[in-house]
Amino acid sequence: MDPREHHNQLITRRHFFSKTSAGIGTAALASLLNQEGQAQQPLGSHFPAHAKRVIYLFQNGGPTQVDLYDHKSGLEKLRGTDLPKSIQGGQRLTTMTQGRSQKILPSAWKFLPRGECGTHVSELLPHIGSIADDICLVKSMYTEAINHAPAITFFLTGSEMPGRPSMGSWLSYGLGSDNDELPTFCAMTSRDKEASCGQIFYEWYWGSGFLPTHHQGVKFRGSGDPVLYLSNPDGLDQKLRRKLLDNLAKLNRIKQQQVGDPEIRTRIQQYEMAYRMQASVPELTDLSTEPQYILDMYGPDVMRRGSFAYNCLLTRRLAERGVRFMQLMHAGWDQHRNVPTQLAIQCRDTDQPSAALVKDLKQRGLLDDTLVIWGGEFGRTVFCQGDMNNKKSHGRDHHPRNFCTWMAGGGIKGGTTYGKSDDFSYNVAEDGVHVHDLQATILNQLGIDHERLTFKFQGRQYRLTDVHGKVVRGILA
Amino acid sequence: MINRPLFPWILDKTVLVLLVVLVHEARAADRVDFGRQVRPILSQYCFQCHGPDAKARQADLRLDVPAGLFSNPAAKIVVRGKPAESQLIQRIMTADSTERMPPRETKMKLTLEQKEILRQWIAQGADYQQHWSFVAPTRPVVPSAKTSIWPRTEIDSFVLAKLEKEGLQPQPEADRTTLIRRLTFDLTGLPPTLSEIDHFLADTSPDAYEKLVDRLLASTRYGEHMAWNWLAAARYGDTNGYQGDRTRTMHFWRDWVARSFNHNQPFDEFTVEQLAGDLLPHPSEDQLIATGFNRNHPLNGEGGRIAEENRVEYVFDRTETTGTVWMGLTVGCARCHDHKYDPISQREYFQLYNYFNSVAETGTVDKGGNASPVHRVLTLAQRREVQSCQQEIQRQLAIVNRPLEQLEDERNQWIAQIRQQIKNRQPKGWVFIEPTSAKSTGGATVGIEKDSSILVIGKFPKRDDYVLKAKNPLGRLTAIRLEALTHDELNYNGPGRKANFVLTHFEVAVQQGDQPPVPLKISKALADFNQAGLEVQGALDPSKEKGWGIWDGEVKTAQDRQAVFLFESPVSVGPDAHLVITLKHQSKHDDHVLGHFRLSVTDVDQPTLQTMVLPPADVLKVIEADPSTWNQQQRDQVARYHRATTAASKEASRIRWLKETQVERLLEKGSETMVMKDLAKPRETYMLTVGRYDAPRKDEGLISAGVPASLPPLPEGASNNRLALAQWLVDPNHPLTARVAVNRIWQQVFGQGLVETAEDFGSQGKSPSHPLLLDWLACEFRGSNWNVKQLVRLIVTSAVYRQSSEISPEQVGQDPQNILLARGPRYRLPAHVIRDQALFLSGLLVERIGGPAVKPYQPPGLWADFSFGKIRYTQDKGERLYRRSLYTFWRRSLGPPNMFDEADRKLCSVRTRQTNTPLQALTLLNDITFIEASRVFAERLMAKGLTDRQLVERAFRMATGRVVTDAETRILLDSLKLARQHFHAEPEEAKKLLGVGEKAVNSTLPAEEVAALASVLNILLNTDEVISKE
Repeated sequence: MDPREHHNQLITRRHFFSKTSAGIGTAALASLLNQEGQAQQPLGSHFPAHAKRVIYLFQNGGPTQVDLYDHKSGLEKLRGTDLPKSIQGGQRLTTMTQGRSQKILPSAWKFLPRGECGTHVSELLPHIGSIADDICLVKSMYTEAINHAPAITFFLTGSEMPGRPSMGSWLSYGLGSDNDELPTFCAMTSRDKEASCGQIFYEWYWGSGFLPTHHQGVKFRGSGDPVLYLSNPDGLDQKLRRKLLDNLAKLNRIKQQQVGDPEIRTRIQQYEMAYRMQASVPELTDLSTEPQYILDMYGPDVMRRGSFAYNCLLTRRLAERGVRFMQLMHAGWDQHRNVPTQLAIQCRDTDQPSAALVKDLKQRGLLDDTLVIWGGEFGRTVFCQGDMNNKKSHGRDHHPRNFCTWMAGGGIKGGTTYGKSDDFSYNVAEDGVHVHDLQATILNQLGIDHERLTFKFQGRQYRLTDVHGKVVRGILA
Repeated sequence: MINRPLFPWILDKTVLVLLVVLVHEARAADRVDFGRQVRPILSQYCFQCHGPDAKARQADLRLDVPAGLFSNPAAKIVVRGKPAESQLIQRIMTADSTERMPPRETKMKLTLEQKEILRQWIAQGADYQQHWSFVAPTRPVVPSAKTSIWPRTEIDSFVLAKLEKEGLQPQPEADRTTLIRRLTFDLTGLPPTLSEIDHFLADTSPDAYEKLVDRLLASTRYGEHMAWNWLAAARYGDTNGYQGDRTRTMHFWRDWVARSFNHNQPFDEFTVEQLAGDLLPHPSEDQLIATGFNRNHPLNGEGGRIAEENRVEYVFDRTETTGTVWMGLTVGCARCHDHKYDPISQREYFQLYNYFNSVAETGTVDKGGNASPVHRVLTLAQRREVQSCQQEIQRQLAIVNRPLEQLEDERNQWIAQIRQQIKNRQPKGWVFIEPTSAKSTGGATVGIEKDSSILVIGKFPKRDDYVLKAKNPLGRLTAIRLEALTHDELNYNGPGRKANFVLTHFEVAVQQGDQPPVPLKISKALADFNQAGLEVQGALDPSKEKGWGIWDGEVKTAQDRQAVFLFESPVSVGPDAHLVITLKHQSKHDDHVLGHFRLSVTDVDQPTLQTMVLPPADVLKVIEADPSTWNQQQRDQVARYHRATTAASKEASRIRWLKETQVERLLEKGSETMVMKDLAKPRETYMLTVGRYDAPRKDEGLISAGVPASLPPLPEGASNNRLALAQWLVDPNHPLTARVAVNRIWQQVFGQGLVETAEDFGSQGKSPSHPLLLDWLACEFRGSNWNVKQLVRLIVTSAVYRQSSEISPEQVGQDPQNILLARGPRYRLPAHVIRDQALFLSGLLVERIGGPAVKPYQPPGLWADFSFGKIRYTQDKGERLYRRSLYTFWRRSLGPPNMFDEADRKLCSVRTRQTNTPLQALTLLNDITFIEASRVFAERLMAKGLTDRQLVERAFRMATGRVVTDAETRILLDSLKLARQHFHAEPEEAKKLLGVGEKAVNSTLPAEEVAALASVLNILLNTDEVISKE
């Protein structure tokens, strides 16, 4: 029988594993409990992995590659001229800029060569510039979707329509977990302080789609309990709880002897893990043990719960504790009419924490087996949206045809760039990287052949990359 | 027969296991079964390139039809009895990797076992059968088993026959407390009470169990419980999903489902009403509400979205949901291309699509949170009020239409009076003006009715002026009268276009020929009713602030009103002059314009509101003639006119109009629910390139409605609409519907279906574990006139169902999934049942049936977090916190957080899923719902004045149904001791714990004691036994 077929039977049916009776060992907190609570072995990797974990710093809204990463010195002399028809090429635009004139708006900020590699990065991102030698800047990303939600869904699940498992769920399903007190897949959200844009963070961005629900991302919240229902109710302290949970386990063990249903054993483990999580999350989220110089690295917002900086530091702590996939989502990059006024603020909120996270991982030796990805769902147009001459009200529209994403660690060749756009930062000129290619590459770094990580649903074998995607070998170390 | 290796995904380690399995397999089944063993292999590995999808087909070879396998002797694909000569075998066995199937690039590989199955199949003669689920079930012979005492029903004979073949024994019947708890959960979704348990235990009659089943099936809780899974299948939600995620009102449909289960509506009717209730002759309100099934899909109200793109998405959803729910087919695969595995072409997909493509919808969210078409539903009280109004209307109409003979005397007097006036050539009354032209400056359509009145319809500007021209019917004028009249074409029956109006200026001018009109001076105005602040005098000056209005409370505008305008001095107007009358509506109130009115003039000096109204010219003309010369028609004309003008008629009309408006306003108070309704002119259906709404395949021509060729045809003479499709689904010859339906009921009771893939009965789905039993149940169901309660009763009275679920680990190892059913079902209760149970045990549960969704506890900030503060959760208070989970508000973007593992209600979901995560444990330990329930449960128990031991015994028995053992008692008492010590030492903590939840604390009980018991009950409610059905 086909091994995947067998596997599918296992995850959709009750199955008794006598081998797990010895205890949970390194059983993953969330991943090893499957349908009916039966311990489930992950599929395992297909070949040796470069990375053990992934940190995706997702920048919702579409960061402008024109102003941040894709330096085009020739644009200044074309300021205010129409984008040539040959470049525009009849592209689908949103209804916001359809049929309007498309005047070239060069970046208002300087680009500087950074690091030994000399990769050009905008002056708005001094800290990310400072890790230029650790990152590979992909300058030829492209996607298919043009609106936020479908484009984000496409990046995270491989399909524009909600309903498929997100990348972290696929990895939880494929690789299981490396820790026994925290979830395999954690998600965190933050937004710009000005609340300049209002894209919703949909649950499916970290959902498990048709995979069993224990593969879904666990949301670490910016207010209230860090994890839903984590805290004991008022008046019930942890010491009493511990004793009572011990008695609960005793009651369950009596039942187990009587009934023989192996699920009861899983139930006992499930409650034990819940308790461990209650114990470990407060410790995890207690940043007071971090030395001042670390806090300083992440910048002034680091102690503000729910900020991007806070989430970045929390992510490092999660990475240290063996969490497999950390998905940070930061909204606020949708600058249709406020590039001159808001972009710098947006960069201030995200630049330092992003770079600090990479540096912090590096100084702890974690960067080698942690793949860090920074990027949004699409880029922005080189032409101006709104009045060219009014800096208070212009910006850039969505642009899926080429934009930039960077990666660091996890077997990625640092200090490099990959791919090229044309002279207008409008089309891919060389080595285009499609969303499915990026996904295939991420899986590859974790030792997974993206064509073989499949799940049968409604009669069809599904995968993250649909029927596409090829590993971008050129960015690998 | 268990043949699943333990670690199958590690291929090289499994060879040995596979070989063992192979031997086992060969012994167990002497002949290879095509449907169960061969087709799944062909489907999984071959159909993608050699299957139904014509575009993807390679080498013009099909392996999904017998013709492809056997009909080309030259190709030798399959040579019966000769595997070595068969290309099929050669190509999978060849050592040449470029020749080998499946090709390398597919990354698929056949196992040794699979190759051997294919080889054996051909060696044994290559029997072929059509895919099982496409052949209509025939009633199988019930097998006779060796153990003839065990079976109680035919179900048991089928199951036992298979068990005996595998050398397994069924379990003995579960004890009675286990049975009543299992049964009560399965039929009502709630646990039994102690008295119910005691009653059952004490009932020694031979049919005690059957009586219990009947009692539970008769409970209204049954319908509420059965509704849950149907709601999941129907992707029912209280919001629209997508950005914005607005609230809709579809609870009428939800309540209809529960009601329908409770009334035991036959499944065929249940089907037809939901898919096409609107197309039934004279559909009842319930039949319309039922059609909400296919309006339960999400609605995309995102700004800037293309409406047609949305609409097409909805039609896809209906097509695919209907395919899954009734046929267990993954028809959605054929949206973009021919189905890769099952015989559904893309064209056939769009034939099905056509049935759902003509809904009178726009793709926008145009009715509040709902989208057209909608139906308005009233509450019972509102419905009663409407009925009483309608009775009153009938009574008043009887007066308006009273027999003409009754009025003869009165009429003759009236005729005589008119004739006298005519004789005197001095019309002492109001004479109607017949306008020659009538215009609206705002572009409305101004029509002149037969009774000389003016009706304004069409375009409805917020403000509007009317200009009328009329010949002067009298030589001398003293006054002009304006009647504001009701009309049933107007909103709220007028007289304004939307009830009230404000006449800001009324002007009469005389125009000679082409000369500019000369206004007449009005000295005085009277009205039979003036709205406070809007008196009729206000219509005399052109100011916009003043004018005549008639609002007098909500429903009282709908009556005829009149105003009289007296000229300063009598005016003489020549016969060639025109009267030009202008009515202006320029007040600050939008939509306050007249809709129906009439003008008349008089030459009576100082006329009043009571001055007689002369009949219109045509009636007057008849009356002028000698009554003895009137023909029947003329007599009637006069009599009818007279009847309408009597005081009694006018009063009856007035009441009637008011009542009609009241009905109209009541109907508005009801809520709208989305229903199916087709456009008068159906939309054209084209195939869409890869399902894109804007890429119709015109080259393929128009697609007419139709059903897939691989399934039976529509009944002859059927009208081929949605109704025909629904009736076709429940036709006795349909191979899928009955099987799919009984399988889902089986799944609900046993935790998994006889066909494990409840959503896929196609060739990629699992084969049935008990194919004959499935067919027998399907035939039984159909034969019982689709009697759902009878089917449920049949299943739960079987010996299979009544087995104990307690077994040794060794026995579990023989059949971990319990596919062979050698034991009773045991699994964790669904999250919604766990919540309902906690509410029930504590006594908090409020059992009110139906109504709008409720918002119980949920951690603060969840909605605000995901929506950036745009959507906030306003938790309900009081009894709405404690309703059954069926009524909990379901937001599609973020379902209730304590409903783990439940379908997310975005898409159709027909398969239950169960996982176990620590997050679930945290939910059951810490959610306010469960903490409060533990506390109130504790208070409930303590109110009885029991000893500790009695408390523990009673709580345990209420929660599990059974008597607690000594060992368990010791643990619980120990817990109570621990908790008591803690809370006595920390009395403030006890108060805090008691403060969780909004239910008032029973202050007569000591807080420390309640807190101690509550924390023990919290643990009890988390035991595996309490949260499991066993």
